[in-house]
Amino acid sequence: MTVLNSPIHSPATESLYDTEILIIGSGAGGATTAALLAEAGFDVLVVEEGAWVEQGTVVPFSLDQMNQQYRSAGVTVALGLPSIAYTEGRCAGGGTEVNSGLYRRPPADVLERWRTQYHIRDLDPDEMYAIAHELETALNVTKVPGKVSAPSMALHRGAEALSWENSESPRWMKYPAGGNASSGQRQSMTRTYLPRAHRAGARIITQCRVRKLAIRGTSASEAAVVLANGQPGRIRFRHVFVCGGAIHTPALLQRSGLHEHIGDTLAVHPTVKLAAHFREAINVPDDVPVHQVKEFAPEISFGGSASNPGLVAMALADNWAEFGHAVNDWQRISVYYAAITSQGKGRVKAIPGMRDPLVTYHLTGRDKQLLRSGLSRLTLLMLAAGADEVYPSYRGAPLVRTPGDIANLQHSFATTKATVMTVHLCSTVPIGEHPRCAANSFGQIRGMKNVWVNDASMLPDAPGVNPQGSVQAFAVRNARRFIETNSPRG
Amino acid sequence: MRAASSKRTHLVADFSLPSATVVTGAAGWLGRALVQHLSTDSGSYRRDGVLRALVLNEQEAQSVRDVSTNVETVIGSVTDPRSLERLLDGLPADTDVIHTAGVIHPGKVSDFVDVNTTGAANMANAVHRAGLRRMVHVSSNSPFGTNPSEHDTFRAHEPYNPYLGYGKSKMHGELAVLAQVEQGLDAVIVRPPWFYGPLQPPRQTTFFRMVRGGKFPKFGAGTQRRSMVFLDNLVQGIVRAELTPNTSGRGYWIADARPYTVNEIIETVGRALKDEGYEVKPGAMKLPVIAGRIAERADRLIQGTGRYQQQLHVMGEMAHSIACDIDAAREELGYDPQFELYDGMRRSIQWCRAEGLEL
Amino acid sequence: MAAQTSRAFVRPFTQCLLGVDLPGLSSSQRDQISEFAVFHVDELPSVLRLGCNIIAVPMRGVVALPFGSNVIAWLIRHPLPLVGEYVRMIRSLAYTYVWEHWPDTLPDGSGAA
Repeated sequence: MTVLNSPIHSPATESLYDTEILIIGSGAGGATTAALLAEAGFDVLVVEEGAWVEQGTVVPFSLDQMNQQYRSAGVTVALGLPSIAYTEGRCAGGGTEVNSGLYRRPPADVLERWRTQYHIRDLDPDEMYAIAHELETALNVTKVPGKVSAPSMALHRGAEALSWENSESPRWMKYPAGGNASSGQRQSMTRTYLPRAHRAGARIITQCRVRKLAIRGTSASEAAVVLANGQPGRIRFRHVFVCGGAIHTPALLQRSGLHEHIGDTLAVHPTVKLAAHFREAINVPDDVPVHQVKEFAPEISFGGSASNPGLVAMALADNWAEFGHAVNDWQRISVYYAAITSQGKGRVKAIPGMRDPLVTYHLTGRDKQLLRSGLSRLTLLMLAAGADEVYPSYRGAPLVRTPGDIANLQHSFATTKATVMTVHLCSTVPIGEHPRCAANSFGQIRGMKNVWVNDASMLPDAPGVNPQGSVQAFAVRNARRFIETNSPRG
Repeated sequence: MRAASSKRTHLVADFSLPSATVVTGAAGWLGRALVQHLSTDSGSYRRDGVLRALVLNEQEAQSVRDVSTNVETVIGSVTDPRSLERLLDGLPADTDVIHTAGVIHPGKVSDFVDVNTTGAANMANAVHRAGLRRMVHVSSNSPFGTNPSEHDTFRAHEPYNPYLGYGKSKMHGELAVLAQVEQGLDAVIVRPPWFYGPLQPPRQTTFFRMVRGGKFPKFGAGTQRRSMVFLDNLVQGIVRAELTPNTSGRGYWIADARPYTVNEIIETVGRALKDEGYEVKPGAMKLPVIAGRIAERADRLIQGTGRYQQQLHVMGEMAHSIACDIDAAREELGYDPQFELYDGMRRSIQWCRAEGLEL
Repeated sequence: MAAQTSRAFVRPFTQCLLGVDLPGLSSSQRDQISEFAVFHVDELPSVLRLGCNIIAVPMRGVVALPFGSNVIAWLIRHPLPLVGEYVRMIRSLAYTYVWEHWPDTLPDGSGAA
């Protein structure tokens, strides 16, 4: 408890750290694990590759934020036909600092699928929802006070006109008394679980990249790292939790010599986009809509994207000759997405001598049909919401003004012409007792005594909803199991 | 589409029965069924007043009169606007028009546009000009193509995605009717998927024969879902659409209560045949999904040259799901389908036998 | 050294692409955006960076041709595999940068403050 007066985080400078529990990564999985283990009396060290960026010092969804808080400044791609652009947080708090902040519990049918198809032992929905309830309190999961933003209202209005199921997704946000939709403060990990971990004695060091784990037989003993100043360092530990996200968790495990079923089953929610033009001003440059349309869930979901003028321009860029004129009317434009649950699979493969892994993704024929249908239905939704012009984001896309125009969209769309993107990555180190799982039901890597995963990579497949709630619920469950079966070193 | 009406329970405020009813395409499968149901004692929706039927020629007129004696036939065509003026001549303002005329398996692709698009536009125009009460436009699933996955179900509102020439012509037919609605016409669109039942044309006996011989084509695992509609259900849906006020400009799926899988269709039809005393060879002609895709490509190519090949077209569609959700018709029209696949198929088989058709 | 490669090869390509795509941009804006593109290529994950630099080298050659800008204009409309991804990435970055920094810019790139 001597660290109470120390700063909550510091850059990695020492050439040798020693800890009982090493947690690699400080996002939804790592921060949650750190807080629970530290509170249970374990000696915890959290290492984060990125920097600690205080909220309010960067504009949400801006290029500046991409540069400071995203891996590779926001440009990362899973190669394939088509390639899928994705983003990953790389900062203290990980994805929770940069995502939309929308919260969804793991759906009951998804938990059931994971329990039966992946044989996750002792997966009790009641326990999971009790944990979800705790999380909702800890993160202050709440709805917008008063009116939702105009782009969110448009989703709601359009869905109601078509009798499509839609709802406001709650967010982990704190609103000041008398606040409105835009005055919330996100309850990301740097505001919640990381301070909690720190208060319980955990150390948090930033700008520390883990190169590999030294593994002998069935245990790992130390991590080789690169410190903030670029010098090599070492961290000795008794147990290690790898929580670097769905790309870098499997990459690190592979670099450390662990391969079995690791990195072979990347799952994502691919999305396609459009820009919708309305007669009235609608654009909110620094926030995203809170409504989601779930009529076709889990196969297809609709929601709103960040829409600052730069992102509006990007959404129009694929057919700039036809759509470019609209950019100067960006105040009347908002960007929306259609997301699908994909049956395709991706791979993460560490390559010797390279810093980053090769990431590939293959969409199935059915996935491509769902993307086409999703974009078409989203277009109809926007017309029903009152949009007078819709600009689908793909090369050669038609301008849509009437329902009849959508037929041209359906016929000319191809995923290879579109900018397919995703922000939800998971399932590269799936947990469960099924032989195809890489870790046991509680995240312990097969064949290893002291190596665990506890982040999005452990989810057996894509949950079909914003995954942070599922990641944290499993992280809490698995951390508790660890605490029950291991005692802190005296 | 913007005319979002609140969901209402049925039978709140029906239109009264019209003084006169007009049926186009009256010599067709659906047209004859409508004539029978609306004007004979064996029909479920017998009504008094004038029933006028549009037919192409004297031979068709006779086939309509074979079904009912309480019907006036007018020879003409939806492709000829002057004949439509004759069709509607002298009818009172509370007349309803049920527009079933359409071409599904034409000799050449251009027939699609002439009948399904221009014909619908002519009809909507004529009904509007005559100031009649309501038009029910019988469309299809084809303007909406096929579901993007086997689990997907079409909702009441869907983006157009026409399936080849037929779908495109039916889509433009709907759009032409909706354009007249913008001008003040009162019209409702009814969208039946694949239908079955008595009065069926010869191509449908092939269907029974294929099932009997264990030769019905099944792509992949046969798990594709298909909505189907028994003719009596469809007639009910059309009458509900005709008589429910405040629904102008809306479109409704009219189908059996739920979609069936291809496996279920083969099994159920086989069972219905067996229970009607026919010998049935179990099984189906198993084909890889890719064969369906190839048929679809070939259909596309051939239609591109202006020709039409029925078998290819049907094969191409069979590898996909076409499933729709009838909730809107239930909620807004009070549609309540009375027949499911097994009963409907038994009735169809009985009708074929009574007609002396070889199955 | 990677940064040297990007600067030598990505920068001229971006300049040329902007000349075709957003001809109204001032030369100082073009410089800024090109720097931004170079920065991003350098930040790319290892495999992508390598791939980009491999593509950037012949593209640099194309740009030097007398009809280079015609080729770029063609590539924007007819994306080839891999090369198309490179073009698309640079374009996306450029458009985002331009309208985030100068939201009143006209569609041809002119009229910015």
